This record gives sequence, C-alpha cells and structure tokens, in this order.
Amino acid sequence: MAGLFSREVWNPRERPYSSDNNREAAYVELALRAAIAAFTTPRTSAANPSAQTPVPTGFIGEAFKCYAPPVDTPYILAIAPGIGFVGGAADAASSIGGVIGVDDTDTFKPLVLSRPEFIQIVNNPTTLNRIDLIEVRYRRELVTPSPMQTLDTDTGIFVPDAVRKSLTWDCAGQQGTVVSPAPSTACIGYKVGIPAVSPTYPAVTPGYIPLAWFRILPGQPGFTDPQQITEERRLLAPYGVYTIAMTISVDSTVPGAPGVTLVEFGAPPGVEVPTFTHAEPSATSREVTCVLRSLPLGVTTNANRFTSNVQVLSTTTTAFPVVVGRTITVGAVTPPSVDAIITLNFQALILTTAGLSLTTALGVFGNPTVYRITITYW
Amino acid sequence: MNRPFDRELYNTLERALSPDNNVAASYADLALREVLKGLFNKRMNTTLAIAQSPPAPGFLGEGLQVRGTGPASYAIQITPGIGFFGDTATASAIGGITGVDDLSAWKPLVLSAPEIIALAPNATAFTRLDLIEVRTSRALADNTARQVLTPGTGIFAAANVDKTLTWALDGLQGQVITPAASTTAIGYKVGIAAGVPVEPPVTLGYVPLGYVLSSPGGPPILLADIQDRRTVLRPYGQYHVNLAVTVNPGVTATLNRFDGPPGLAVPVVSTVVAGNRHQLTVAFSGAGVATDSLRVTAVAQIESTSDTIYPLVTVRSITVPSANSLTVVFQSILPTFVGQVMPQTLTAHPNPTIFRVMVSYW
Repeated sequence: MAGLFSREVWNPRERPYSSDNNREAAYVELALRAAIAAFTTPRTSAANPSAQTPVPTGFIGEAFKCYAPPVDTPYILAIAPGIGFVGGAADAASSIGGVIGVDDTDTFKPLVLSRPEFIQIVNNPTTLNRIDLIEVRYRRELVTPSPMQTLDTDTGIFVPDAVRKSLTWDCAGQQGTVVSPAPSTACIGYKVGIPAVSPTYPAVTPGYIPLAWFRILPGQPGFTDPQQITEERRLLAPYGVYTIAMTISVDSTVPGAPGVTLVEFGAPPGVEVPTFTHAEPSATSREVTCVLRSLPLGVTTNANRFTSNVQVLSTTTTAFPVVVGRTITVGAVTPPSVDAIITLNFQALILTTAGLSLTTALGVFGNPTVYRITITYW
Repeated sequence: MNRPFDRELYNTLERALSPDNNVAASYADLALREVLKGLFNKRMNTTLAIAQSPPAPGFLGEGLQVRGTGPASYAIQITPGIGFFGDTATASAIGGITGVDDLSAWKPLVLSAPEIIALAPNATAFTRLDLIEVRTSRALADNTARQVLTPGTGIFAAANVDKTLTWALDGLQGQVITPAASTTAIGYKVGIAAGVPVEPPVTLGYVPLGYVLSSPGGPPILLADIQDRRTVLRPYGQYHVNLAVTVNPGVTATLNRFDGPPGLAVPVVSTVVAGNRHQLTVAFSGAGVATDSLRVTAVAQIESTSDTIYPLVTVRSITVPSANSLTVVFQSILPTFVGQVMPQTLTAHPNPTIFRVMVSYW
C-alpha cells in the first residue's frame, strides 16, 4: 500500500486483475479516513503541539447517541444512525477474507450505523438498582453472498460460484445482550449490570467503545427520566473544538428554574438541552446557573477545558452590563445516577454612568433580561 | 446498499461485471457525502438534539455566489464551487445502469466554471428584484462510442453510451418571469418592476442564490445591488468572524482586519460619540449572515492604555434590519481608578482606538 491519495493505475492495454479494483477502493477510503482524522484530532496536550496519537475515538454529530425511548415503548433504547471512528485500532489487515487488495491498513476504523437501532431493555424485577452499559465495536466483515462466475484456472473457463461481494462496517442489526461480567461479542453490546444497593458499572469489554451507561430502578417501567442515560460518546469536531451557544430569558420575579426560558440553542446535533436556575444573592448581583448533562466529551471530563462568555445587551445608552463567570465545575450525581454534570455559574451587575461615576444598580436590568451564552469546549 | 464505507469486492479469479465498478464508485461517493453531511448538518431545533432531516442546503465558502461582472456590465456571474441540497429521495440503477446509485440525502450542487447570466432589460421607470436560484442536476453525460456485448451473439458491437454521471450545473440556465416556476437547473426569475419591488418566490425544489436589484435603464450591477441568500456551510452550523476596526471617535471607523469564511461580504463599520460614550456599529450583509438576532453572540475589546484604565465595551443592540443582514452596535466607556470611585472619561480613549470584534453565528 502506497501513501495517502495514491491511486491505482490501469495502463493502456494492461490486463487488470481483481486486486487492482480492490486496491483502488482501499486507496480512496484510506485518504478519506486520514483526512477526517487529521481534521478532527486535537493536539496532544497543552505543552505538546503534536496531534494526539493514537487518534481518539469519536462520533460525528448524533451518530450512535443513545436516546430515551418514546413514551409508548418504555423498555426500548434507541441508538441514532450515523458515522463514528475508532482510533488507535492496531489490527491492520491485508487481503481480508483472502481477497487480494481488500486492505484496511489505517488505525482509524469506521463505526457505521445505517439505520436506527432499537434495544430491548432487560427488566429489573429486583428491589435494587442496576446500571447497564451499551458498548460498540467496529464491524469489518465480508457480506452479500452472490452468484458470480470465477475462473477455473485448469480449464480456463468461468464457472458459477458463490462469493461475497461487499466489505461492510455497518453495525445495523448486529446487537447482542450479555450479563456482566461476561464480555460482549456482538458489534453492539448490551451489557446488563448486577442489581445492588450501590450498583457498579459493568466493565467495558476490551476492544469496545462505551456509548452510554443507564440506570434501571427497581420496579421501574423502563425509562422515566432522560437523565437515567449518561452519554459517553466523544464528539468529532474540527481539531477537537466546538461551541455550544444559547440565548435565555431570565425573569427576576420568578425564582429558580421556572424563571429561566431557553429562547435559542445552537449546538452540534446530539448535545442535550441544558437546564437553568437563577438567584439574586445580593441587591446588586444576579446569578444564573447553567447545567449541562450528557455532553459528548468521552469518558474524560475536565472543567479546565471550558471557556464561557455571557453577555447582556445594554438596556440604555448609559447602562453597561457586566457579566462574569463565577465558577465552572464538574460533578457527578451520586449513584444510582452515573451522570457527570458540568455547571457554569455566572454573576451579573450593571454599571451605569450616573454623572461622572459608575454605580451598580440591579434594577437597571430589564425584566425579563436576555442573556447570550457561548461555551467553548476544547 | 445505504451503508457508508462499504466496499465492493472483486474476488480472486472472479469475472467482474460492469455493476461492480458502478457499485464501487457509488460506495465511495456515499461515504464522502455522508461524512460531509454529518460534519455540516445542524441540530433540528432548540429542543430536539437530532440532526436536521433533510439537511438544510448550503455552500462551501464562495461556491455559487452571485457577483457582478464588471463596471460596465449588465450581467451577473455565479462563482464556481460546491454546494449541497438536502433531499431524502434516493435513486438506484440511474438510467437503467445497474450500480449507478444515489443513496445519500446530501445532493451535490456543482459549478465548474463561472456562469454568466445576462439580465433582462428594465425599460420601466421602476426598480425590479430578480432571483437567481438553483436545483440539483443529476444526469448521465459524455456520450461516447464504445463496444458493448450483444448477449445473443457474444460479440462486442459498436454502440454509443453515456460514460459520466454528472452533477455539474454549467450552462444549464434558463429565464422565466415571476410567478412562473423555473425549470432549468440554474433559474433566472425576472421580477416585476414596481415602486416597491417584491422578491420573486423561490421555486419549489430550488435553493435561492441571491436577489439582484435592477434599476431603470439597466445600469451596471454593483455589489450593493446583489443580496446573497446562500447559507455558508460550517461545522455543525457554527462559525465566527473576526475583525479589527480603527476608530477616530465620532469621525471615522476604518476596517483594517477582517477574517471570515470565503464568500462573506465585508462588513460596513461606522462610529458616533454620544456624551461620554463611544459607539461602534458593524453591519453585515450577504451570504451566511444570521437571520435570527437571537442566534448571534458578539464581543468587542479595546486594549487598556494604562494600568489605571479598564476599557468596558458592551453590546448595545443586535438587530436584523432586513433579510440576510445583521447590525451589531457596541458602546464603550473607559473607567479609571481615582481613589475609591471609578470615574469614566472619553478622553482616555487613545485616538485612534482599535476595537477587536468577534461575532459568532450559531
């Protein structure tokens, strides 16, 4: 196999082999995968500007996101179709299935789900809590058996034969259920946890990528709360950086969460809508708290990799709202929930140009006040 | 076969058929389009986290942007490039050729060379708004003399066959008068001249590129006469534009740096002084400009001129005065420490003052 963007060449009057066609397809796919990896891989660290090696696993948009089921199918978990990639897979393969030129030499392996996948959740008849796991591995398999003709080299005659015509990565329908601690074997593995007072997380099967953990309460009719599902995917974004932006309206006369309305929300597909609350701890400041659950950050969550900006538009030509970040924290709800939450807390006041002095006056805020929030994850 | 990254196999000693080659190309095309669709698609809306289906149309950078053709020309040109149109309709065995499939909902809009469109004369005393719109064109082309097997005789006989599946829009232009629907892939829809001209409606299945303002007598088309209505594709629907503006308070505002995706028009900047306050206005128009002021965040900063001065710049307003236009107004003061109070003074602004501005669309 030559380098990226290589092409197989068919020379004039050359008798081509089947391997020529296979290599051509392998070249095209290799270039596409390498370009995606280069475009989406973050730097190694603050001190090291090199791209991360191995290339981290990630998913495009909502691909492979586990959703709470519709209300009429409470014991069904849905997985969204799309494309992801497993990074750092070491099993370079050539002549897959013995077919010359069908090669997979890159370590960035496609994870493909061509249609929504639905998983029947195992009931929890005990009186204890349980944590289950959905995990996935890539599929690289020869499929589509077809009647073709192959050359009989003894006679020189083409004879009927059954051969497989496709190499697929599609995980659709490739699901299986095991009970922890047994390892998953199907491409999409549903690993049922062990009920306990303080249930433990089922271990991720070697070679698999965790998609989500979810808790099943005793006697619970399936999912009653989307927060039972905790995202473990990592979003693919240009160089690993993406933005979550929103516009909220805060009514200071309505305390707590009901006083905050999400007006607009801009984020990559698959990012859940945050929750909010607000308070006025002093006569001159207002606090807004934004809680983000199930962000597609992968299994590592680091508050130091968030930057946020909040602004309130001036209500008059003499009012200058000042909104600053108060805290950005990462926390985890105690079991049986396994959700990590990111909390951003802002505080605001308004400086006014009264005469030649600046004064603080919370009352200068309009009511409701519109906040524009931009959160960058990097 | 709607499975990105699948590959067609040519088994050892297998007699390959023409569909094998066609399916191999269809697979590669599907993988590329599905990856691009995933990276550029936006979420459905504020509350639904799923991706838009079908995905909204958009263009890469300056692809298919409507521009003037010169100071003495009553015509426009469409820049070459690539766009995509969301359409969940699929097709298999296109033209009856097995394996020539189009299974992605992300259809290419391709223009390989500048497309010139001569505008219809405007002999009235009124102005007119014309529309340039496009739809996808998926066609078999490059009819070529080849040899094709005759199954009955086993002999290859001379025949003409199409050798290319193309998405190119080049030359596929046509003109209609509103309210008639466009039929060609590149549609030029002439509006009705009026004192207050109305925009011709976009034909069903088309995506608007831009509106062109035609004045009485048909003078040359200037930049200001073209309203770019494309959406510029950006990862997950988000991007930032950055600019630096040198301000002589209340006198001049000069844009000295600007960076945004190709195809984005240069913003217009202006300044006023109101009492002890600076005001800087940045006006955007054209491609990719947010159409919802609530989906915009803007920040600006001025460097501190001394260790006792703390420039404070806030957003006064973010408005969408008309389609595909956005105006952001900043206001600033310079609080300085004097004892325990923070008097603010306009004179502390250096002259000129440099504002650094970032506007985010999402």
